[in-house]
Amino acid sequence: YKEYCVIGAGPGGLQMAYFLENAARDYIVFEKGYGAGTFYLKYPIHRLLISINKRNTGKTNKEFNFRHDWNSLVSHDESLQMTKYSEDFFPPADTLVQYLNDFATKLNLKIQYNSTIHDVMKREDKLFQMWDQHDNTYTCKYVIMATGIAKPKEPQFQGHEYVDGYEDLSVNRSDFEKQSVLILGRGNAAHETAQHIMGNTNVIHMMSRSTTRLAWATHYVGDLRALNNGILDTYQLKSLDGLFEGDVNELIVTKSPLDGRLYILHDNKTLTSPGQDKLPKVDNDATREGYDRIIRCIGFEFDFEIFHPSMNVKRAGLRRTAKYPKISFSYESIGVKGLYYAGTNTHSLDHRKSAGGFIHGYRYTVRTLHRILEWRNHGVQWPAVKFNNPQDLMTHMTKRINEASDIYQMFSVLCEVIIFDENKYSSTYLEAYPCALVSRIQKITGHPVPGPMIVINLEYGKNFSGPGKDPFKRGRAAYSASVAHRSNFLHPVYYYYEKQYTDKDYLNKPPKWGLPVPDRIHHTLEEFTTKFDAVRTHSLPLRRFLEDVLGVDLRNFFATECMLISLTTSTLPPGCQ
Amino acid sequence: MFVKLLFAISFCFVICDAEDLSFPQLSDTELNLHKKSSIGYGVFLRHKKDLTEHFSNALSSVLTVTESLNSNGPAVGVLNCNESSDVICEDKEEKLLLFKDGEVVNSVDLDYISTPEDAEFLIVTLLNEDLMLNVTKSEDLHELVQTAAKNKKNIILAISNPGELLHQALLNAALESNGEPIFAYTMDFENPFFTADNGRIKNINGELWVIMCSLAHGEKCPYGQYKATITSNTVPALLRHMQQDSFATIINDNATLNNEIESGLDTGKDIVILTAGKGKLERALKISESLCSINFPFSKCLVVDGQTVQTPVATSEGRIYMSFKTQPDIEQEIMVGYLGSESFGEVEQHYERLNEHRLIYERSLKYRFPLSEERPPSKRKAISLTEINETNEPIVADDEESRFNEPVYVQEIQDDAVMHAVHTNKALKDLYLFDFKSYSRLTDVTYEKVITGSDFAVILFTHEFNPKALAALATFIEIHRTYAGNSPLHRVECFDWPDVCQKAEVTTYPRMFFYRSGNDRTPHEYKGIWMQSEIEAAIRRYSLAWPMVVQKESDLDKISATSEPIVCGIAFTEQGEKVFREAAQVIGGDYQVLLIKKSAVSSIKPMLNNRQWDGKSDLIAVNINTKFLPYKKTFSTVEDVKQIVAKALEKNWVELSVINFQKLMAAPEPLVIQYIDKSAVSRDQLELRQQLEKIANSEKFYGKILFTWMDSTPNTAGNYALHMHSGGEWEGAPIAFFNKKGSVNFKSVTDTKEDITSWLNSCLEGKEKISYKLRNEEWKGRLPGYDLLQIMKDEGTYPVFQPSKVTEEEQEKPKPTGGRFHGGKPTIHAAPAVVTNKPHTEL
Repeated sequence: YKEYCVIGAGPGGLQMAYFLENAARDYIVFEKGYGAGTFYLKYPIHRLLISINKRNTGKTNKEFNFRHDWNSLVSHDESLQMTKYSEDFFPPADTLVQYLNDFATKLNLKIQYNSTIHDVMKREDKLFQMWDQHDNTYTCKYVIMATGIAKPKEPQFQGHEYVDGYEDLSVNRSDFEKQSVLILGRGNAAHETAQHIMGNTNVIHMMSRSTTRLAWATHYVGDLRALNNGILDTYQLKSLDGLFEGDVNELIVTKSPLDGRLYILHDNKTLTSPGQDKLPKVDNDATREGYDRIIRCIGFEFDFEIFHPSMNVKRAGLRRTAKYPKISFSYESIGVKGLYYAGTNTHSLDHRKSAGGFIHGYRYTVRTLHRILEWRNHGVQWPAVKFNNPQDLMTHMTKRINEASDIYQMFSVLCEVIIFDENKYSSTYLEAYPCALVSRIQKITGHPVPGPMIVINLEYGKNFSGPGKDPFKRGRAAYSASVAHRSNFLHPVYYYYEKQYTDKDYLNKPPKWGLPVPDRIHHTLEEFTTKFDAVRTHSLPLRRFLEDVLGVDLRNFFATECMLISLTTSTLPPGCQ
Repeated sequence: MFVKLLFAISFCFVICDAEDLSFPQLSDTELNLHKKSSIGYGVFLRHKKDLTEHFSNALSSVLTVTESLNSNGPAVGVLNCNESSDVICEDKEEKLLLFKDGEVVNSVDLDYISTPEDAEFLIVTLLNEDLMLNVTKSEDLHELVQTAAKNKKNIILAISNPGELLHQALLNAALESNGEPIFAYTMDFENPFFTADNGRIKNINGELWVIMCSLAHGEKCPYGQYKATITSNTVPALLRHMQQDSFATIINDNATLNNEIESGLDTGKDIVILTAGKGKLERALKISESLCSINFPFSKCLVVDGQTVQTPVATSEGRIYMSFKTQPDIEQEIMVGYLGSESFGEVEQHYERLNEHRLIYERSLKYRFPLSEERPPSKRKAISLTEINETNEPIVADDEESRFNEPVYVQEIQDDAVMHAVHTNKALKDLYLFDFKSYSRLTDVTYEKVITGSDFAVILFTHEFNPKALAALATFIEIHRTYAGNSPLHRVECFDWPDVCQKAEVTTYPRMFFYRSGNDRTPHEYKGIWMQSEIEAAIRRYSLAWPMVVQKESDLDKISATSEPIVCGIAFTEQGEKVFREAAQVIGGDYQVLLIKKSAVSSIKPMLNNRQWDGKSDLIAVNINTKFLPYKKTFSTVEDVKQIVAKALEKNWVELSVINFQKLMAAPEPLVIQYIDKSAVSRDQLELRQQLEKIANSEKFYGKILFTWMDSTPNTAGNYALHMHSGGEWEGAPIAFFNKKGSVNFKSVTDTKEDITSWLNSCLEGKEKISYKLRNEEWKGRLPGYDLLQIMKDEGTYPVFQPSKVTEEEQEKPKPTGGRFHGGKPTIHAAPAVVTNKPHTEL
């Protein structure tokens, strides 16, 4: 029996184990592989990570630097940073595996390797039970699924048997020599594959349901990254490669009996591949010449088969998010109490919005889950910094927005929350708290909410992100504090609420708004350096905002001024207290 | 240049031949006629037949300035006393007598007329010195002000000596002024009337004050210090402005407002607009008068009645809104926003900062348009206050060039004095942000070394976003520089090393910790005020051993005298030494502690002079500047030591200063503050002080009143407080009873024989008349900042609540539209994007 059973020793599971270890909880991690992070022994198949490993920022601030280290997990051990493992901006996947195993070893995490867990179920006594491949039984009070989304998605369209899966694809370029290739999918794996083979192929076509989503336009790191976009060049610069749209699920692939090549068909009624007896209805179909190879690169999904059929585990959605399990914002399964998720399988909450599907994002959401569990199960309050006056608070706010990595990576998912007492003077500062759970702070953190609150969220401009947006257009940057609300690049937004908002308020927030409409709002003017410390442009308007909402003079005074004030007025400003 | 005097009688110099010099020789009849000149007449008395050298020189000098004196200058003649029977010849010295209206107004020793300049100055000055009233004491000034207030006449007061440029310029102005305004001067002026409100007089001599009694409220006149350099041009301008009687114009309608702004800007003035909310008109008027009396003729003040003029600001706020405009060619529009405390000092600060900003702005313009070239004409007309307020937007840039002229938004004007000071101090910012050489900046590694080492260390934690931290560094670095190469002072910048600060649990700034030398590395936090002297004293205490041990007499030589208390434990017994060593660990942070062993007692025994002490018991005595305080006592516990020290150092009569005011203000007892002008202590003040000290040290008011004094030398905080508490009027020895509940009773003690205790009792009982009521300052935010929600509403980007009914699944489901696979021409494409925020319907 263990209080916590973590399943999976990938980055998510290891991160969870680290927090449990640190909190001295009773836990075990089950890992089916012989070591940690075995997913990365195979993937990505071309062995280059696309998470950046920026070793130099010109700053000594470790928290700030963590903003630009996308591969490391959170720990107190500074030797456990990927920036110390590889000098490559995009490090090799093998290095990550090495790193993850060092993480597990150095931090003495309790991991049971070579244990393939199956049939996770919840008993009537509300404990979870599961078995490994040797039919050893394990009982746990809480289960944290950190298995990632490692099962390749394999749509069963007609002719799917002719298609090569990304998971089995040869990485030997010569295997593609003089071949015409169709790649299904348009994510980074698809582009990575195209990039890898384009020097050998005749043509590469790429098909997916939606248009190309460029990460620099959508600001979502799961969309197409610049380093893999070679095929966009060869397409638009008329080098025979090309992209078109279509639904993979409705695809029909047939192998021509005449030339043995693969053709895609419009529907069953008009079989028009070579060797068939009909001519196509349309004579200019871009696929009409057929392919030597079709590659499926349409991603992975969560493996629901790990659960016993008795478990009421749901999918998060029907289409786009169907690959994820359905969970609440406290990372608990909707349907199975006590079953939690950690790591990339929680990405349904911020899919195509933030970084919760990636190490640099979920290292923080895992910490969030841990903090939630600490209060819920052990009565340990959410860590908070208390301030006795708004002046000290303001410095801390400025410090956080300038250095914090958690709210930076998980923008619009994790927020800073400042809870004021009734007189709006002293405050409790909660760092990197789930924006969606602000309505439930007391329940989630153990901190009461006696007065108003400020929620700080980092945001891009509301009309700045999305496929087809031009993030390089002239006039893209707001230039003055008076129009800071028109800022487009990631910038802090301060929401002031006289009263804590409700679940309903959050669920009914306006389109494109990360949080419900507040009583007062403040935007700090954008700055692509993400340093928001300009005295007049950033600090002063923030002070005015705080002064306004808190009704207090937040100027600093010299000692002599304070003495004079104390001799002539009945109260002192905070700057003199 | 000298103003040319009119001559009452048309008189040309008649040049006569006398030893190669020609002068008008006066008969007694002519003399009698000229004596009565209302402008003046100079008579050289000649006694000797032969001209002496200094007589010749004097005559020669006068002759030389004939050109400038000319026909309109004062007339001068020579009276030969050997021939004259006039009474003035009874004075047997050869001299120059100056007559006016039949009277001798001055006599000049001929030795003083050695140059033509002397001659010109003396003649004009001495003949006309009655035009400039000499104020020698404050009573004279008060009387003058009262009279002027009654007659609504303005006063110009120079703090100057005759002969100085300022004095001469004003004298010339006085000659032309026809008695309006009143000109006065003082050579040795100490009246705090002029210093109390703003406390910024530094160089007294050469100042010029304007007292606008034409705008008097009762017997009080608005006044201000004229800051511009006095030139021949500025004085007439000053006079014109004073004669206009208008330092503040009250505006009751928009048309007048716009006209006034336009006309003011046309004449090159800055416009200061104070828009008064309900009930604030009078206050705005006073501020305006004060401000513009100081800053004219460069500023024009307009007081807008927010009740009658359509301006969105101030009317509903019941507050005063200040805005500022400069000349149209500079195109600068600055709004200041609501005034906070509305104290004049604060308004003036605003004004100065705005001016500072403007000067920077002007420099940038000069850079763009070399002085030799004419500036391009303005493309932007001055905008009215109403326009500004209605849109809450500054002037919109209409061309590329105007991008340089980015208007400063009111919300973006710095009004935090500390922030302003540290961020405009280039040297400090460089030191703070970029200097990695001049002092020790700890990293995560070196921090560990320091705190785990054994050397004495002082660590200052700062954060670059905190202005107080920057200010603290300025002091810190000064102390650091006093060490020759082996400074124990280190700094951790928490933005560079947040992990270090987190480890030290530092979340507020600045904070400073001492690590004492040795193995005990417990950090001791500094809790005092951030003043260099205080920090230095604390560093010294923490750097010493707790206690320092004096084994033998010669050890005492190593201990330097200090004004900081030294707690001496004279330990005769082992137990006593043990207790004292323990006590030293408790009080060592507050006082230097000395353990004097039995073997060294003989050297200090005579100094102790304590009859109650048997010379054998363990004793605590406190030494300051080599002298032991009277209170000494034997001890047996740590608590005894603490109490004895507290009692020995107990002061019943303390100076109220920046170091201790917080502590004194936090105590529940009311304060008695005697104001003592240390630069000129009067007998009254001394006598009152003696009386108060006596009272303070008696049991009479023990626990009921804290007795303090403040230095009220001009330009000090005490001077300001005195002015506020007294209402600007006092005599003798001023004293205030400061009731922390919100009021002050002020008293001018003129008879120091009077027993002050009855007044104190009366104050305690609340029977005394309140002379000053503490302002009930709420310390609200000073400006609303940008109301971005409102701006969004105005520009149409405010969220519209139209929750989408389209589910995620519906959005995602592709809709077949027919056709074949073509790039960009899909057979199946996704439905039009519908934005939703509701992937979840539960949390």
